[in-house]
Amino acid sequence: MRPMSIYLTSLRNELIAFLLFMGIWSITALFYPVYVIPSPLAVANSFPGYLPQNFGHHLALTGMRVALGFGVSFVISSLLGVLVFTKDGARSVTAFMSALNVLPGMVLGVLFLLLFGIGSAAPITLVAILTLPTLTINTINSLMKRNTNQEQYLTSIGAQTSHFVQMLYLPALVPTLLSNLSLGIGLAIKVVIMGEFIGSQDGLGYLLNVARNTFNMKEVFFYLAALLVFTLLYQSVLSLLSTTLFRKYYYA
Amino acid sequence: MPNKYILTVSHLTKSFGDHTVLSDLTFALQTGHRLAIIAPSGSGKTTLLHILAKLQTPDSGSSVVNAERPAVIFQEPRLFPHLTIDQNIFLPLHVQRTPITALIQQQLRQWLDVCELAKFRNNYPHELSGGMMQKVALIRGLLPKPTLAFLDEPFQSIGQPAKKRVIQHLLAENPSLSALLVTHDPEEVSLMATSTLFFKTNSLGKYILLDTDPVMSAPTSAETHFMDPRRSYV
Repeated sequence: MRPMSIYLTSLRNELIAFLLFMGIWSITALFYPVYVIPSPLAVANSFPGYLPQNFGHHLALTGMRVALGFGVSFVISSLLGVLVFTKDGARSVTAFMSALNVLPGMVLGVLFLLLFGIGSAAPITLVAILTLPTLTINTINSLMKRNTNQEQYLTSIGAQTSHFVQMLYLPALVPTLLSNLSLGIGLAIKVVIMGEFIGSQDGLGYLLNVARNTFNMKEVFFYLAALLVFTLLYQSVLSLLSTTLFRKYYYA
Repeated sequence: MPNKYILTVSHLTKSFGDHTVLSDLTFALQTGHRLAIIAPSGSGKTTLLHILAKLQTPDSGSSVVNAERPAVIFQEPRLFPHLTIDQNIFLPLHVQRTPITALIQQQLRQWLDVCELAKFRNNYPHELSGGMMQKVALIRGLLPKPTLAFLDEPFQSIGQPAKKRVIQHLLAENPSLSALLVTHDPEEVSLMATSTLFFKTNSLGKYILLDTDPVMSAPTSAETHFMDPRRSYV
């Protein structure tokens, strides 16, 4: 299959998800007044009247916080996963991460707000801390399930540690890293929005908070739809990567 | 002067729980000889090869391999799915930092022709059939011309005509190859082995195999099971 048709196929799933969401939204809007649940058409018709003038600035800030917080978490979790696996500390770290995973985000959010004050530091730290356990546990589990037959083969040809990492561990990680990127971004967006909700005077979370306080539901629903579209586009790019460039790693 | 014995196994014992698969196994393999081992499933043939290849440790006993890096061909191809067929084949050479010379390239072309894989050099393993992948595993193990090979049912997924061609080419390319061949197929034995060891029990052991020129002393109580593959046997 050519790359373009592969991309269109992967985009099709995201398009179906988008249409499903829009359908549910449209049908639900029929049963409620426009000031509770405005229909997609009502939101589109009033666009961009309800948006603040510096909407782009808020959007860029949220994007930067998601990218930075999630980026830090992704890199640390990947390195930590490989490190504890090679040093035989997988079980201890998994237990620690599982414990970390149950800490309520709301409480941490308030704590970071008190520690760092209003600004970008709190949501970035929050997203890094809240996505780290899941991503690390995923990475460790994927290495635990590596192909031991291939490991045995590499031993039989006298391979060094670098060969094991290059030929076995990193390729075994590729599907998990892509899955972490897919799974983690949704969580990261939610956490950043929550962080901005709690302690920020800019960003999409802040705008959402202001909009819901003033009952500007068209604006609220526009932000939700924008988040949905971004996530689906992001997923389609990941889907394309996994079916083209990284396809060979899925046969391990 | 090369060692007379490329492989010496002394009193090797290995158990998994209550099941003893190798029990005081002792034998030696002369350099240039190829020994086929035929035994029931679960009798420890694969375990024996793994111990000799240093992939498993025995409970007791020892083995001495007088070869630098024996090739191990497993029952399954064990190819790396993210590498092309060429990359898989060159992997052992790459690991051992052996330069890919024009001669090696030429030998590879001959191997690929014999195995009918010439068209698939840039393909990935998942694009090949099981038999084709097993041929790739054979080429990968034998292209570096090892002096000793441990072959664990390496031809089982390869069809009869291809199997014969592959073995003939293998012996033409590397006539002095010493090998330990685990198999259930009498044809493989007649094509490749210089001697055969039969076990009827479900564990390998309590037997002393001597080669045709028995310089190693054997305990008088030991039962010797050594057969010439060119002769008929029961």
